[in-house]
Amino acid sequence: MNVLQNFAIGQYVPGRSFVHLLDPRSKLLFVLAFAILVFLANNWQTYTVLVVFTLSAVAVARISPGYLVRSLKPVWFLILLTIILHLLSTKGGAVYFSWGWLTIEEQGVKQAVFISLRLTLLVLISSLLTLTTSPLDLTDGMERLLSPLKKIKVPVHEISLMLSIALRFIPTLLEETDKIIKAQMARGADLDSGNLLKRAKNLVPITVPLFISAFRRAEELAWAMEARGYRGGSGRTRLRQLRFSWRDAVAALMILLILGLLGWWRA
Amino acid sequence: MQITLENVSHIYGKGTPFEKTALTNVSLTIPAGAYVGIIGQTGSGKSTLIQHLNGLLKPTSGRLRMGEWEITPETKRTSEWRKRVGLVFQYPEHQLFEETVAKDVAYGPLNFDLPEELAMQRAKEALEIVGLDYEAIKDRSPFQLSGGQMRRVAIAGVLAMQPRVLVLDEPTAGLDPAGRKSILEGIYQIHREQKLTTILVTHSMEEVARYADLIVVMANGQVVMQGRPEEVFAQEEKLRQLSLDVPETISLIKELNEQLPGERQIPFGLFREEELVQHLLTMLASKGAGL
Amino acid sequence: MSIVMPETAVVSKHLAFGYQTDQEPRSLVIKDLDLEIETGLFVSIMGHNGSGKSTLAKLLNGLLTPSQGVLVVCGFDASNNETVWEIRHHVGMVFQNPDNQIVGPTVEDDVAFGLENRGVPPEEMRVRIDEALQSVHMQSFSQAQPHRLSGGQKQRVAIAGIMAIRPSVIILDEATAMLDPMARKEVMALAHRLHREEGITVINITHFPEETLHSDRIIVMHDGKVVLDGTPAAVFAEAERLQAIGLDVPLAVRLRQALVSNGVAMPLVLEREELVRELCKLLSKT
Repeated sequence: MNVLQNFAIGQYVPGRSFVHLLDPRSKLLFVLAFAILVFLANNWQTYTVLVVFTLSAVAVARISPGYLVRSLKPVWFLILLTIILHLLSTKGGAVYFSWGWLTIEEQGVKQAVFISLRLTLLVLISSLLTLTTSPLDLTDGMERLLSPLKKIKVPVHEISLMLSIALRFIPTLLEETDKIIKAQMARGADLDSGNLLKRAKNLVPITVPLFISAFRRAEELAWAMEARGYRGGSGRTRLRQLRFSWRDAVAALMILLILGLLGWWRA
Repeated sequence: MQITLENVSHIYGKGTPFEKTALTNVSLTIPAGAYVGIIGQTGSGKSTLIQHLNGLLKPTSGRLRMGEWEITPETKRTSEWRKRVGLVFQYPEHQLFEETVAKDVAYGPLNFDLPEELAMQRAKEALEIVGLDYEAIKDRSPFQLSGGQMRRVAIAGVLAMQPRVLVLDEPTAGLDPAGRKSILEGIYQIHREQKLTTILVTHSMEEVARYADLIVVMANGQVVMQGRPEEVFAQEEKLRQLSLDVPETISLIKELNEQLPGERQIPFGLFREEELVQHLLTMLASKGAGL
Repeated sequence: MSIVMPETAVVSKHLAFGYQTDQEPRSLVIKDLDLEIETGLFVSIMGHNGSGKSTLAKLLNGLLTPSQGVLVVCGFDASNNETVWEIRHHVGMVFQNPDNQIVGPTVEDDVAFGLENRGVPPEEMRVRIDEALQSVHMQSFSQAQPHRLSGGQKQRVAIAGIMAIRPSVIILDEATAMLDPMARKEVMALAHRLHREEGITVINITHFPEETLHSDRIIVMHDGKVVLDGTPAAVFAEAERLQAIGLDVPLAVRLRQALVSNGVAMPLVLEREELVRELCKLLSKT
């Protein structure tokens, strides 16, 4: 048992919803397309389309809103800042409020709402991606999507193998960290007192063994991989096959629909 | 030093969805100067228990006592306690980090605010206790040593704090027979010479049989059996139910007893090899068999 | 080089190996080793840490290249950079640390790894993974994450990864050293079953004497050389020699040795049951 055991990698919530079952490639492409489309929206109608769409995607994915709200936590300050800046600096239209040199005008309110909404939607949609796709599927999807880059000598296969081995070893290394921290504490290590410099110094007894162990593991893993016939990406097949299904076609249609609606209602 | 546990329970992640009970109402007395073997399957709560013994973990309910100190869920600082109870983790060589062996061994004493000179003196003594040549090894990097030597250096790192209670979590894991034997003999020697209270966690019934005066059997976070080795080993069925073995000598005695008439039954207390051999020789001599 | 007979899994002649170092003249870890291991045997290699036994294991799989001499495994030259890949088709290796040989983020992905490397089509992979997991009784764990498994389960997954490539030889390089006694027994029982039922040649490198008792042959290494080689009976008859090089012998052998040195006449025994039988014979004499 250890204190770091409950550390979750990514934020994947397993499930079997429509969104979960989409091919990871579709989801990645979809998020990319959505990120572009968000910038096409410029009036109430188009923003409504995006909001309605995002909320229905959340509903279809059957992800509890709590998780999504949590995903906004790291960016709420940015959103707030955007609102304040736009409220104060964007001028035009009717004046709603003025105090000394401070005025809040119609365009400012509009921009504040639009831009913060844009940011929120982007965060929500990309969180939806990581909430409904296992890290493994994500790396897989990325590898497939990026595989054309192999032609220009980008080591796509190696990068993806690295990512998947990292996923495999994160829990192991966390456990190890916990063990080393406890072992040094048993030798009287004091990890959380003193000034910044002292604290950094106190970490040496943790980081050195951790690095040594990581290198040892890497070396042994390399032996094991070679013994198991690993000789690079060429000629390898993959167990995990990604297949597009009718769901992916639906997703593609959705994107076209959004594009159409935005084009139609755009100012 | 005697350690007493009163209704010690430990729940990891209390109040979170990941809540997990690791110890339930463990009451236990570890007499001063005893050599206690703790056995139990992986996941039986052994490691949680020993982390309580040296104050790394605090109970979520219940209390531990040792001399004038006690640890309860409210206890803030356990450093006085920890100073007296040395804990050697599994594969302790994985915690080595200093440039030289001597510095690494002195790390513990320095943490407990000993002056440098004294800490180095302690390091020297500790290295000699584990059977390493101080002069030859003190300036070497711990990472250039053999596996068995690294293990000794790591154990010396705990001994240098001069604990009164020594807790060892599978100190022989991964070593070859010669390495296992010399580590265990070394520990037993310190145990006797310095009158330490020693607690050995192990999977090897042979190790417990050889050294322990008292055995504690853990399962599902509880102490399910405790007593002198012959008492515990006599309950073979119960141990097997817990997926634990008995020492092979016990199986041998049992199998012999099945064949032997009632008056010549071999007592289970003779599970130490030398004693069993002596007994067998006496039995054979009385028969005049081949002697 | 003599012609390699198909019934020979391993042949070595004057095999030597030393790690490359910059300064010192390299010291040999394996010295002038002549060895022949027939196909279909269950062979144990014993030796203390540093006796060269793990180095030999790595040589057998082409992970290390011989410094001198000849090593032929399953009919392929182990010093040739291309034929070693052929060897790895036939020889699977289980390492000591269960954590550091599992590559895949799930059990199934890990068993697939060796197959992926060999370009096996995905449909066939499915079949072989199922078979392999079945053979180690881990079917129900196919989707599990490796770090959730116990040490013994991890080793069984590692063996499944090897079984999936349908090897003729499995090398266990101290594969039980980090396991608890129950898991150790499980893994050994599995190795014996694969040997018996699938006809796989097993080379078990270990320092636990109990693990070697049921082998066809025990090879004892010391200081880079073979010092004893024969059936368990022949090897454990030399109990003193084994103990002199830091190795242990099974309990029955040890007790018998103690009794014999005190003047008791008793034939060599290996297992506890035999010792019980012999003791009863002596004790029931009138």
